[in-house]
Amino acid sequence: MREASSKRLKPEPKSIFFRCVEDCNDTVMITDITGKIIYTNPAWQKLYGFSPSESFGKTAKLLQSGHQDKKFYKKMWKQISNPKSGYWRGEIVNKSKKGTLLTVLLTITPFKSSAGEILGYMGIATDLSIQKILERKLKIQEHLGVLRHFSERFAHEVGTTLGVIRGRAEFLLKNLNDPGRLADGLHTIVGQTDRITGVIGHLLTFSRSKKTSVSEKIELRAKVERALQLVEPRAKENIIDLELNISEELAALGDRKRFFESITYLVENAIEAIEKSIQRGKVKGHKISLRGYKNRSGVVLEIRDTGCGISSEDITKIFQPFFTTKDIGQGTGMGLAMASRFIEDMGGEILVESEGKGAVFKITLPRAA
Amino acid sequence: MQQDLVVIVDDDEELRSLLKDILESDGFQVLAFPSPHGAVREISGGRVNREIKSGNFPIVVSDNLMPGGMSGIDFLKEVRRESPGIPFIFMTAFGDDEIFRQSRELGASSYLKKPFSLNEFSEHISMARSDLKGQISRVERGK
Repeated sequence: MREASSKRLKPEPKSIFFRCVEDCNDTVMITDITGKIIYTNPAWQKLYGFSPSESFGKTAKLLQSGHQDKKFYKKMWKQISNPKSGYWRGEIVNKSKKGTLLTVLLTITPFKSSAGEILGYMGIATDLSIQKILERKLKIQEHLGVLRHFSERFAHEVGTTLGVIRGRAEFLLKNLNDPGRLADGLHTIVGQTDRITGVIGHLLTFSRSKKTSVSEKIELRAKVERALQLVEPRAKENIIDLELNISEELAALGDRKRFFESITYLVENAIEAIEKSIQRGKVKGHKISLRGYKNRSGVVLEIRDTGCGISSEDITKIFQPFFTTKDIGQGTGMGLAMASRFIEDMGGEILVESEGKGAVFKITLPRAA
Repeated sequence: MQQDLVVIVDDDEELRSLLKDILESDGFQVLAFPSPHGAVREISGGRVNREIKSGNFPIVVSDNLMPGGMSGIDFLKEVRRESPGIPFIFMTAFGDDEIFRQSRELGASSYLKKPFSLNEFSEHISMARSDLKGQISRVERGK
């Protein structure tokens, strides 16, 4: 009795392993040392459509889709025969008998005799086709969502402006005898045309911006001073202090032009935030401070303002194109979007923090040696 | 005779000033706001509110997409809470059927797609005005 029960607990290794491989949902293919197929499990036969008689004796070239080049296979075999790694794992596109392309996650491992001599290879793979389709669908949906947001904002911006142009022109036609109105109206039309040109220009700059390999030495202080010159009249008008705390020798690596444009947008944004705070009644004590320093990740430039701050709801959207909280229809909502795009394309990072009052934008760029 | 009052809400300064010029040259009195907040204050408590109480309803013209956390749809709800009788002309850029349906369900009187022609705009205003006159004469007849 005791013997019988202990027998039931001890499986016969060979037949158990064979059943496992046969019933496995992943595909299993075994080849001899020359690469000729000597075994495939039912999951493999079902996925690729080749019966044992159609596949045994052939090599894995049977499944080649042409999606991987020679270099790919060379690298793969180099890794399998390297005793240090001893196997290869990766995504590969195969072709079934019917011609269907199948993306699988494949692991190829050599199997050895007890003396350590390679006898052949086994490939175990999971079919990823369904996952791939779902991933692709999800990506398309994300793209559509972004596109929808984009086009709504764009339509609003351009539609309103076109409305003003058309309306002003019609209004002028009705009031041709009023020279004062004529000049004003024509000025508006010219201004609104420029606005549409600006929006389209910004949008194109934004969408065409690519990762840049330009790696020039950017002297931070000089560039920041130039950007500040541009906003100085507006700062004076609103009695905003401009504070600069960047040492002469601090330098980053990147594209000078894009860096300059980015900080110009950021400084303009700071001024606008303060103007908004002034409109809300806080008139005195405003300041924009720019601080530069080195840290472990590179060179950091901090732009700090005492403006109206950014709500927690808005802070996640602030770098999105066409996002604006400006009350008067002046800004296109592209400035911060472009600034962040430019910084990221230079391999840098931009972060924003705001706790109710004021905001800090932190740019990190690679350090110039 | 008392001038009819129009309340305009649009974040675009140029569009506000254009609509104001058009309406004023047609003899309307105009109050324009860059966001719904100011307009809501006026309608629920300010001068516009006093006008409403004395039976002089304004015509409201509002954009939908505006910064500041309050959309035209939200604004329409506020106006309807104050009075179901105020004509409300809803504007959006190029139009969106879903927003159109929503504004209709909430009781907007008409819907304008930007960019619109002056004729369209004037038609919508005069439609709203005749609605208003109809309402008032019905009220007077009922007295």
